[in-house]
Amino acid sequence: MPNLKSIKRKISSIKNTRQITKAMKMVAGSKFKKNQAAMNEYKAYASIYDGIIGNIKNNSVLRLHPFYGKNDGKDSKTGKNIGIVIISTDRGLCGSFNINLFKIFNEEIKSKGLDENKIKIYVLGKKAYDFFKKNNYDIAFGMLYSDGDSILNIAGLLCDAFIKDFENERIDEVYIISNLYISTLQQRAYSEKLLPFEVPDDNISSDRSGGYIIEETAGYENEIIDKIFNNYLRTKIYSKILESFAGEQASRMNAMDNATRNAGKLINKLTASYNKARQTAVTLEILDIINGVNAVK
Amino acid sequence: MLKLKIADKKKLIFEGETDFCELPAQSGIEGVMPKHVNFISYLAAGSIKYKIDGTIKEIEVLKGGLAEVSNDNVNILLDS
Repeated sequence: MPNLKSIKRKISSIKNTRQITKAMKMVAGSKFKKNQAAMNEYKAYASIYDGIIGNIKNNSVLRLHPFYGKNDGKDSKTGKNIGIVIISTDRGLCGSFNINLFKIFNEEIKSKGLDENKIKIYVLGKKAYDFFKKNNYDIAFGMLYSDGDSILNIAGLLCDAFIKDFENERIDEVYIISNLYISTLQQRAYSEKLLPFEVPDDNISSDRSGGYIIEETAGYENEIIDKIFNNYLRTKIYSKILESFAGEQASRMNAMDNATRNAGKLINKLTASYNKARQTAVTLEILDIINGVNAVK
Repeated sequence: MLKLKIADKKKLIFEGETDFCELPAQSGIEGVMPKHVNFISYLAAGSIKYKIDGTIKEIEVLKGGLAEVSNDNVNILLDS
């Protein structure tokens, strides 16, 4: 029976696949735990830094810093040059994790009416790099995690790249698109403005929290502000990368879990049809024998 | 009362209220009490002291960090 044989072969191949996806799920699970711990460890630091910058932002004196909309409205006719930072993954098989980033990217372009030729891309991770290269975007910075650098260094290099471009007025605004880790089952891609810093309403800031004394040690003042802001962006990018890492593994875990379950369902279906086919064969054979016996009588 | 928050890159070290704290700023030790003027400063190696219920607690600063004081909030980030 060729039919029986082919079904059997199919079953065994799906069983193999199931084994592989199961193993991948386990691997993702253990990596996820590690990445999640790293993400949570860093969260306190990042959130306090967020708070500090939130306070500092109210300070009107600091608005002289280049990070506050220096390049704003310079030539509104020709449109703004936009830098977009994208944090993706090196590896696939993690569900719609990366696809969601590209979806948000396209939505952003449409909703903000951006000119695609004026976008510079700063990308981390192979998946997004390949995507933007294929679609002929201007990639100003591209790096893979597998290049062997530590994540902290990668975050530093990425920040240096877009901060330099921003200060040289090659780009007027910087957005970041990355995956937000909500829970193990839910990760959401979203976009956020990095630069220039939003200036809060003037009426709050002018009197109450305008004053800061910045510790001076010989012409140090600008440097200290510079350092705080630069480090802030670095901290932000770093925490986003950590978040993306945790999300990637969680997403992969879910994808592989689904794959394993689907493989199981398929096996059940095929086993049923295998049994049916075998039963038919047996019945036919018995009929043959009975017919033979009847003929002899 | 001051609201004090201290964190390094690994964890939140302390969060709570205190009457007084002392920071090893780069230009010298700064004491902070409620209604202190707002300031930002980098920290040198040394130790942060803060007082809760009359007892003084100490945290070592190994590598330095960043301190921000605004409206009775003290936020400290350590580099280590």
